[in-house]
Amino acid sequence: MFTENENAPVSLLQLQSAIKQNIGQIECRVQAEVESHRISGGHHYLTLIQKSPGGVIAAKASARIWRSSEHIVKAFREATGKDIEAGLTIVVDAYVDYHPVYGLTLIIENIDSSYCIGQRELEKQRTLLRLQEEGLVDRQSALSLPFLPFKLAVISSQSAAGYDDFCKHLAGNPYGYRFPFTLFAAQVQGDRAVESIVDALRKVCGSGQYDLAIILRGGGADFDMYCFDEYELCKAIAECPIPVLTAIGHERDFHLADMVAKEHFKTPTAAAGALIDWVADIEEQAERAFDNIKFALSFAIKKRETQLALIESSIMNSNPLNILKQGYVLALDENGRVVKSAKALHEGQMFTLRFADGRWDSEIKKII
Amino acid sequence: MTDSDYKKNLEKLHDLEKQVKDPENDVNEMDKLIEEAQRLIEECRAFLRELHQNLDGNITS
Repeated sequence: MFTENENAPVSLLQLQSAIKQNIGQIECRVQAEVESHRISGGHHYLTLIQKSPGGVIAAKASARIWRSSEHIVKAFREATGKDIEAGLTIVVDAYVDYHPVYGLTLIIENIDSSYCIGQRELEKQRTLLRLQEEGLVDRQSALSLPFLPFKLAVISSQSAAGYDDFCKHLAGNPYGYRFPFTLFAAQVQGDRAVESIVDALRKVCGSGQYDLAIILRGGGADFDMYCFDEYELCKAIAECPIPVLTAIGHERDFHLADMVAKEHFKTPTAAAGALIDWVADIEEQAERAFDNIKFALSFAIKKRETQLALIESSIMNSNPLNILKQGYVLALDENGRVVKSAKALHEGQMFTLRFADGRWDSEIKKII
Repeated sequence: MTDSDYKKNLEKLHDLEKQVKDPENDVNEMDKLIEEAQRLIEECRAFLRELHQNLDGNITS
């Protein structure tokens, strides 16, 4: 292969060059797990592996991302929210490089972020299934909202734009309502977000002072929102004994946390608007009820007035003295009772003639 | 005046109404009965006016 004399040794370089030549140009799309990753001099040094179903390493290769290709690492991080680290499965476009000194290396030219995002969706589906199996998805829906949202705990980051939007919208409500709430500061993105929000939820529930909690997070990159699809956070929301509302991200965002919450709103501003509408609606109902009560009371008073007028009319019209004013005279017996018949008295008996302006004591001379 | 007083007045008025209509009653006592009825009616009217005012006052406040 190298010389005419097969027994004559070849130099190592000759061998390595021959290997390189035989390998040729191999470019391919590879799926592998990152076993290790380090950065040196701006270059990324990785070890890629493939495990058998039993977990034994079945294949292993070194890989590089040159400093000049740093942009692919950055693009991957922006799209997926993930750093390249041990345990991560990636799909990369690479070519095989064989160096006489350093051996075989995969030179990575692109990392397929859509693969990781797809994995994320699969993970989300698995989490949803688990939440459903454990009966956590509908648990919050069984809780009743309080009559008014005035014992409100807000879980958010004080520096988050979404929290600021929420506060401004509440403060600027056209009715002049005041919404007393307590902020439970939490990280709403990053590695500690789940732990931080769960911890805040526990504090809210543990205090026993609130009858409503709301988790706020303004818009951001997709990967900043991944924590709201995490099982532990969704479980904590579902198991919260008070209703939990969520307002996370943009209009387009929908997370598992939204699904398990009592109610969810598209944005923190929308949540603030809903709270304002809630109070306005109660106020309107109260005004309507008050009007109804006023009408009923007014009707009852009028009914009494009518009743009183009828009694008055009945008494006044029944007064026998009324006819005296018209010029008539009443004949009264000795007991003051009206004499209604000429035969009621006898001759010689005393009686009284009652006029409007006085009376005559009289005697019957003759009954005709 | 309370609501209970109002109801008592009303009972008295019904009683007076019966007395005024009773032909066996002394006509000379009629003035007193009528005067008493007018007093009771005026008390009741004042009470109803007060209820109206309270209702309107609560609505505007």
